[in-house]
Amino acid sequence: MSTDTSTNIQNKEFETESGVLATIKELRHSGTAIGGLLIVSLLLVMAIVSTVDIILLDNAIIKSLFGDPHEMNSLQIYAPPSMEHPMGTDQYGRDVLGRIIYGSRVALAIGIIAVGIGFFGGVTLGAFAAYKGGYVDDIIMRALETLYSIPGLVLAMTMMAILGPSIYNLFFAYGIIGIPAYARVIRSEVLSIREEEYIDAAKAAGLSNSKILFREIIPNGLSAVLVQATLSMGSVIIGAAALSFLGFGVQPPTASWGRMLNTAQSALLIAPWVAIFPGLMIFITVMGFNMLGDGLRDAMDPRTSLRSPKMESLEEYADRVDDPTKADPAGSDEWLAGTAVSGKDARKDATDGGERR
Amino acid sequence: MSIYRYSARRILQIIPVLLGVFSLTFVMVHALPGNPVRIYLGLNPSQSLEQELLAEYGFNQPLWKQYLDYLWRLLHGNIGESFVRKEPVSDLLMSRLGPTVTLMGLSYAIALPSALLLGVYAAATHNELGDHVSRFFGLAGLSTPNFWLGLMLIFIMAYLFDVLPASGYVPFTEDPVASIKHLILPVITLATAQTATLMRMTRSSMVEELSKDYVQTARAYGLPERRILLKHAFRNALLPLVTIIGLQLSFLLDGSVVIEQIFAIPGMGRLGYNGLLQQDYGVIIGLNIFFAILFLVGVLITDLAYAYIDPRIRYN
Repeated sequence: MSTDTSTNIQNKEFETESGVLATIKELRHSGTAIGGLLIVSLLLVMAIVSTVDIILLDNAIIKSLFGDPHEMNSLQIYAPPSMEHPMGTDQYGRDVLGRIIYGSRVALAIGIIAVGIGFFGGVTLGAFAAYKGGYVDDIIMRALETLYSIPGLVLAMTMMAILGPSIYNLFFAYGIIGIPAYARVIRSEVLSIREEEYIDAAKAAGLSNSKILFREIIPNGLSAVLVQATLSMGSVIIGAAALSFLGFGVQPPTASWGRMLNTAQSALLIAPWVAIFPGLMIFITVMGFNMLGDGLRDAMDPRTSLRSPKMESLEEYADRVDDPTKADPAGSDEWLAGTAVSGKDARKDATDGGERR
Repeated sequence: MSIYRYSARRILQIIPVLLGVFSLTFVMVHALPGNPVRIYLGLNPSQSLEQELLAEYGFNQPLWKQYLDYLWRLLHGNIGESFVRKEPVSDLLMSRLGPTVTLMGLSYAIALPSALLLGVYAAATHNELGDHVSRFFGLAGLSTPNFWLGLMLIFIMAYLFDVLPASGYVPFTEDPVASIKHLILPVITLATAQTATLMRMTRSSMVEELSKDYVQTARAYGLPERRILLKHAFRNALLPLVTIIGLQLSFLLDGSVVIEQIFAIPGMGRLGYNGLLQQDYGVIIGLNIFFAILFLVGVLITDLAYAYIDPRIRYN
């Protein structure tokens, strides 16, 4: 063990280790993040399978399992949950479970695409504004503040009224609305990173401005925005569902959870199952993303360690030391990456110390 | 820079943003397909009547002229006229202000204290059972769509147990008991997400404060834990929270739109919703501007309050 430690360290790329990999390694110790990841992956599988089912297989999978989500049955209107329809049927006698499964495509697509638009738009604009400074910064940030000062849902509703209610416009509307928040975060990140010594070093080494911005500054500021993206995924899904609920979003017959709740409202008394299950799915989905985002933030925050609370017991230690086969080089690497060697940690610690004084 | 100069500069900065909000909403409403006269007159309107109404309200003028006219009226404090209701938007907003402000105010009055209490409790039991439970409920509250929560509350409290009215609004001055009964469900619906957000903020802020050196010192001096928590850490932990409170206004306004729709409360959100369906240009523009003013002033006040509370903050 002791002999190969030095080669181990030499082979290490500290920059990558301290950033992405260390975060992933730290995530393994967070129950919240694992739970969230499980929920999100399950939904992702559901969404992918139903998309394949719709496009390639002509609803064959869902038909064999639960019945066609688009098939109407006038004899089965508002049928309560039963063996045949585990979540009951809606006002056209369509199977609620099948529609919920298909609805996962819509929810995840909106979450991922809208957040993607907001993320890239916001990062580009915010980083550009911060790096340019001066009046460019002023104009961009003032324009984004305009977007930011109208409450999101009201703005989205107005945009949807213009563009017409459809899922593609929903992507667009929520993408645009997300831009200011990301721009703000990346802007403040860039402003603080710009003052770092390694940027001076890069300048001294003769790197071009764009290279410094895209290769040095943005990658280092990205982690903060990434956490925000994961956490805002949930609010985008809720917001889009709210729009569909109000009638401005996804239109029938496409199965979407928000739209299902819209029709469920009028039949709440006679068929509560039509309202309960779609909302529950929104809740579970958003919970999954929020858990993942929470875990991610904790893992990226160098001040909190997720694995410290559990200390190695004395027997375990004795076991490990006595038995060389149990020594786990990967485990010790992990320790290295997570704590002392990581450059970013050192930087953050230093700034913390500065604040305290 | 003195606080006066700072506030003056901040107020001046609001003006271009408001101009932006106006321009954006103006462009957006005129990009709407059709016009309010068409919707107002319904199917098969008489041509002459349509032309007459368009001319009367200036909708047939070139867009740049309509824009400048509107801007001119804005500068005189008139945020617009409702075409459908034939009333100034400001009058409409004032008549709808009561329900919305009551709803938002009560929600906040419930959310803030409970969030502070829960947040401090969670931070005090950091990494213990109490913390995990309150963290879970914090996340759950954040993840619950308010419109679904509203429907479920109506289903349980109004339909299953029949203890509270399902929807509607009664002004407090008319019938206090009925008013409160009607408000309970909407207020709970709106307050849930607020409580969750604020509680999470309080918790993380408190956890950070409690890890600082001065807390260790206080402990070393043998101060009772309760005193450290409430007297020392809590005061400092409150600071970052103050800035959030202004930003929360945006979510409250959003929430009120949805909740007024579910519970049939005649507030500003419902006004805007109907205005959008009827393409009532004045209402849409006026409401957007009004919401933006509310939000910007809210943020400004919290920023100034921040400076007042924390004398360490300097503006430059």
